[in-house]
Amino acid sequence: MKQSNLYGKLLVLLLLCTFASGCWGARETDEVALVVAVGFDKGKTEALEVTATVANPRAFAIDGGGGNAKPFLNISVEGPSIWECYTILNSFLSRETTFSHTQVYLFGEELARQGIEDYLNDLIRQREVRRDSGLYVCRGTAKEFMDKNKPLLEMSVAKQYQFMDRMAKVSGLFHNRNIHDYYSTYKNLHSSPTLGLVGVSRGKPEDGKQAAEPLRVPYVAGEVPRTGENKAEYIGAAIFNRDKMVGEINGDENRTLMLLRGDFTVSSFTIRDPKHPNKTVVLRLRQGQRPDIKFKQEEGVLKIYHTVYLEGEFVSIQSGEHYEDPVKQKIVEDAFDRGMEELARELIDKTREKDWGDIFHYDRYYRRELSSWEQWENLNWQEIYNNADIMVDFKTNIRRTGLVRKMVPPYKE
Amino acid sequence: MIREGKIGFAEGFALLLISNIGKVFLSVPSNAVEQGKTMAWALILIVIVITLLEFWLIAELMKNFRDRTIVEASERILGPYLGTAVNLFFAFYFIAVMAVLLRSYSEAIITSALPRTPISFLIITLTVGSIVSCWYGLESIARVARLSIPFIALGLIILCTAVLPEADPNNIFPLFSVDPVELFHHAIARQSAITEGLLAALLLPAFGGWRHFRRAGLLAVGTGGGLFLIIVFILTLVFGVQVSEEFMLPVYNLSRIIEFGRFFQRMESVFLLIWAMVGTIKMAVTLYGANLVLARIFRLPDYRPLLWITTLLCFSLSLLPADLMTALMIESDIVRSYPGLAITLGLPFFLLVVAKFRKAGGEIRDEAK
Repeated sequence: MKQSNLYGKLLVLLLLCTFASGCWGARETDEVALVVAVGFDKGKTEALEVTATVANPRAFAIDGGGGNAKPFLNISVEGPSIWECYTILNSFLSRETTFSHTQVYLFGEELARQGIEDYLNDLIRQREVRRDSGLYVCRGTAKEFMDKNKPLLEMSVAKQYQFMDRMAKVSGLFHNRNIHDYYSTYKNLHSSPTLGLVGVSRGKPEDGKQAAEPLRVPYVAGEVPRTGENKAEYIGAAIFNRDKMVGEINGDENRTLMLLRGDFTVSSFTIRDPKHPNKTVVLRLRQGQRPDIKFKQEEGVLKIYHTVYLEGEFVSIQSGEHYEDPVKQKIVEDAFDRGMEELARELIDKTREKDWGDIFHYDRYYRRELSSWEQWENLNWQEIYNNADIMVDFKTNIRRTGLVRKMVPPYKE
Repeated sequence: MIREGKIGFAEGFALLLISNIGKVFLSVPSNAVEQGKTMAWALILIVIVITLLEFWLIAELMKNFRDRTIVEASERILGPYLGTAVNLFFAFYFIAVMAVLLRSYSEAIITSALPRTPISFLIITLTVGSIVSCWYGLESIARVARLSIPFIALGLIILCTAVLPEADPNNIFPLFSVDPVELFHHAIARQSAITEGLLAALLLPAFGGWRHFRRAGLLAVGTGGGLFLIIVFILTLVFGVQVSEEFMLPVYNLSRIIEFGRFFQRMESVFLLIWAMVGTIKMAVTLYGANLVLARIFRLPDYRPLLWITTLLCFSLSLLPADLMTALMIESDIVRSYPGLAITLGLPFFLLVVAKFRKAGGEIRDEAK
């Protein structure tokens, strides 16, 4: 009896090992094609053109003749929907494509201006699509961007897309958003969502744009005056009104936007030296604390008092002026604050002139002033925002001086 | 006489707690946000009070039947015919809960992890797991529950803290957005039916004392409610009301957005383990409850011969809804709504009132202090 019990248990164990080690949906790693980026453009013959960047496992093989194989391949398919294109894609690839490791989804500008809700609805329901994947808008077509994006420092384009998040944080000029960020703003708020702007380098800015003025980085993706083999650029942001792209902002506007929203991490700012106008002072600043936003109703007008806190250090003082002295330091802080306040005012005015709506998401905070869900649902935020009196105040505190305590002038001849 | 064995306070608490938190991993938190909007947290607070009251009522009912189960108690209070009818309702409730659990957990596994696996295979796997657990009995299930608690707690703590960087405190405003009467209505009509009261009343003889039973039950229901509150609160903070309402598996979605740098990602694999632990124990104990009620109604010396019949019944019932949405509708409109509440709260309350009344008449004596 005891022995038969033992055999029974062994049989159950054996069956468990057999059945629990696999499933109907099991796919070995050499059976799938990992899609690392997906681009969406308006199709020529169909509604949609999907371009997929597929990792090429042959290029990563230690042996087995990887040789000069390209590390990734771009394939484009046209079809009526994302998943129809996915199905067609699988009809001519030897491996089954999977979006489980997709780092970014890119919308071509033309499609983004038509509206991206349909495609976003396609994406979020699918198990393989992760909400923490990046979501960008591409000036021109996504296909062209993906074809010309050839990272030189990375073996895999997937790694480059992963690093863009970090790069957005250290420059403040690019607007790194993922599906979760965009979708949450789109569904939860009345204000306008924004997405990072990418593009293919033309090597020079549009006429009249130059970074002669300190604090200004007047370029959008594709316009940065530069040389280099990889033509992909990440700078600026695309502005949406609900799900339709309605405009774009450049690098410095993006930095201002992130500062006002409280999403800013760190960046270097070049300002004109207050005492020596032909010299510059460079500051490296980070957001000191979350912005302070207060609302007041005065004579039927909503007043928004917005304070942005920054702190950081001197990176360079070309003139050698002793700004390290706390009294003189205040002069630099004030000059920087007034400069940033001017930028903020210009950006707010721009959103109103172009009827973009509230890209700063003030309604996130304004919901605290409301008392019922119906009130929030029926809020005409665009009108309230357009008529609101917004006062932005920058408060910067330069806490460190870098490796130099003070500049000692050389002997006069 | 059925021998359930003995379980300690910690084991009883673990068993009831895991049974209580099973719903958190399904679409129930999204339903709560849909009903309570930014006040979903308040809705859950009301639910906690109601469920504690529900358990307290059952504990009061069982005070005079300390070495018996609710099955014998209802027969003694209402007599053999009416008492048996009431007990059949209890048994059917456990069977219905088990069928809904089988279906919703299987569908959830298909949606989240095994999209190509046939539903019948998953239901059979879960059913076999429940049968084996029940076969080994209450002590084994309770001990596994007790051992699982640290892993479940650790997983949930990691989950809840890891998503905090994504939380936006503004998402819970407007703070007092929903009419309290409406909130109270939703709390009663949609969220307050729990099986743990009945379950604990079935396990009372194994608990080693009425005080243990009451304390473990109240603590488990309170802790489970607290966890439900935290999950709903975090869900609202991270996704906002509109997005949270959309989710089929909100906790799974929470786990998918966790990201600490390039190496600490894809936490849903950890979450799936916790989910499997909770689901298996919850189903095992529910099936055990159904069998125990039936065995005691029919005065069988052992519940095991009934296992095959009740399991087959649960299996068949679980496959009856044409699709997942129908199964969820059955759960929200019947199992967790007024019909469910009538069985988990109404019947025990009725029994308590009758017991008090008849005791006053001198017909029921507490035989086992």
